[in-house]
Amino acid sequence: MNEDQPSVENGCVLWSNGMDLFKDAAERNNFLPTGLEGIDMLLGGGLRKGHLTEITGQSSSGKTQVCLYSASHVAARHMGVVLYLDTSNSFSPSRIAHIVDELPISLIKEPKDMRLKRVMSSIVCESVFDVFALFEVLDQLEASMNDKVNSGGNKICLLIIDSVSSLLAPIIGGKNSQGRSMMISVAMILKKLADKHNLSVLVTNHTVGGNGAPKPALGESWKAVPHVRLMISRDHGSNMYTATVLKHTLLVF
Amino acid sequence: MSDIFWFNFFWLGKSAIPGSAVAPQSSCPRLLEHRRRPQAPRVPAVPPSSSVISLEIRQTAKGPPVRADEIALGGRRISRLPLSGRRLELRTNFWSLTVKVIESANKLKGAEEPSGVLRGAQNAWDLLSDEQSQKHITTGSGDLNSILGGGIHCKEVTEIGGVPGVGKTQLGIQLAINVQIPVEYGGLGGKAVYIDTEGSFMVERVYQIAEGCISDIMEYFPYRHDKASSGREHLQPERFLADIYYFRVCSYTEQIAVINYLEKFLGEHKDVRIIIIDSVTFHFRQDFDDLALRTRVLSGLSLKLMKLSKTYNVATQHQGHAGKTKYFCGR
Repeated sequence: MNEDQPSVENGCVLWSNGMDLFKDAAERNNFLPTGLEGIDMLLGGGLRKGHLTEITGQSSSGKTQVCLYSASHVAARHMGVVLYLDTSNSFSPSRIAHIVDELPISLIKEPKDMRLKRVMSSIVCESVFDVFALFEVLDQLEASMNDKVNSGGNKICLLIIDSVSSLLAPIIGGKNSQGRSMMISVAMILKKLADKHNLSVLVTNHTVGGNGAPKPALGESWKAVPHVRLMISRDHGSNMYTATVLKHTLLVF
Repeated sequence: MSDIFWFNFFWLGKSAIPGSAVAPQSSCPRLLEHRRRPQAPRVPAVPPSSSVISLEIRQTAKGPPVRADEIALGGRRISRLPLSGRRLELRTNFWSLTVKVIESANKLKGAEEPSGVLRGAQNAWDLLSDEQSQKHITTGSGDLNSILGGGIHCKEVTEIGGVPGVGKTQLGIQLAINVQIPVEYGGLGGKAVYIDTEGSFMVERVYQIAEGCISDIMEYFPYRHDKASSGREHLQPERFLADIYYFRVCSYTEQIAVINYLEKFLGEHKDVRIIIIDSVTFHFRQDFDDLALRTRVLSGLSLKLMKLSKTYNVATQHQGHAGKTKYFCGR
């Protein structure tokens, strides 16, 4: 064997047994609240750390609003830094300011303008417009998170990609399968980041299909990727939002 | 942004970055094939004290299918390799280039602000202050301005849709003129790029609108232009026409080519503040049989436009027709 190949022992991941995992899950605060009670209830407490959650829905059904609410609430409760990857220029700082101002005062005890500045400084936003840029960003993120493990800075706890389907939809389809392989690469990297650094990842997806009921985009291969899938829809007449769970690893139906 | 070489690197050997267990990609056929070549460079043994990353860099063709292959096999682009503070040793070989990146012994340990988590990212507080200081391009109509929140925003893509004859092209021309209103009269003082796919850009009409705009400025700011008498010479319709860059596209391939070229164009002409595309779906309606391909191409175009808007601080406005595909781009 070449000496440059890592030996098998070093390549192994640490074991843990089921009891340890269960105790760990019971003790630690594993859920990041989104701030919207209905969605939190459906998710079983909030966005779970180490899991990939997907919100899907038609255009203007409220997906970006869910993302903005999650970002504001997580940042406001000192849970860590939120990284918002924005693919359609839909990140609106004034909307975040509006949400933070409306938070109940009992939740946080500090003057309003200081709170606003602190909360907004812990939301980091980056625009990505194609899948290659997304790979770069995720690589940089992984490298910097590896460094942060050692230096112990302010860690990212929530990664939001709004929307991952607008990056992936133009490349899948057609005769070549490279687009799909890139999509699965993205999925693997996101899940690895979530698991290794205990992040919660929230992505949004749009819907396709005019024949019957709209179904989530990105096809069959993406169906298995997120741990939890929610579909939201909006009834324009009554201004009511409906959320449906499509897939959940914890809840049983 | 345009890489001349597409570098593809595989992590060969033990990576010295702590905490990462990188499995060897021995199942990767390309790697195996490379290892079978006798002249392939041997990766040196990693000394434990210094952190050495050995990267194998290969030059491959730039096309996206090849790139996609490489990424699928685990390669990564190193156009933004964090090389600051590291020594680069280049060792060339017949087949490829080996770059040894040796990190400097003293790592920078500055204050870790959240934006340090990602190079080039801004936090929401900075974005808020940017947003509040953004200027808008007035559409000329008070009601439209109030719906849009002050006017057309820069760094955003706005879509205007409607039945034929409702006034979309006229609005586009009006915006091309309004963006040029000088800064002292409350405008942006920028230039416009007009991409015309249907041939509906009538120069005589532009001249009329420019004259109308100038007389409006004179009316609203009667005292100002007396102060700067040199400013009066600048307010000529010919100047307004001269500051519109006009592209005529006759097929969808030309349209895609123009949008790809715009990045370079905007890099050279930094004072362009609006791009108007009239209309973005025209060429995609007749020639395209494959609907799925059309949706993909249009989504790709919209992503490129959004990237242009964000990077060069321009407003992009495109027009569609009612009853087109469900594709919707930005705000």
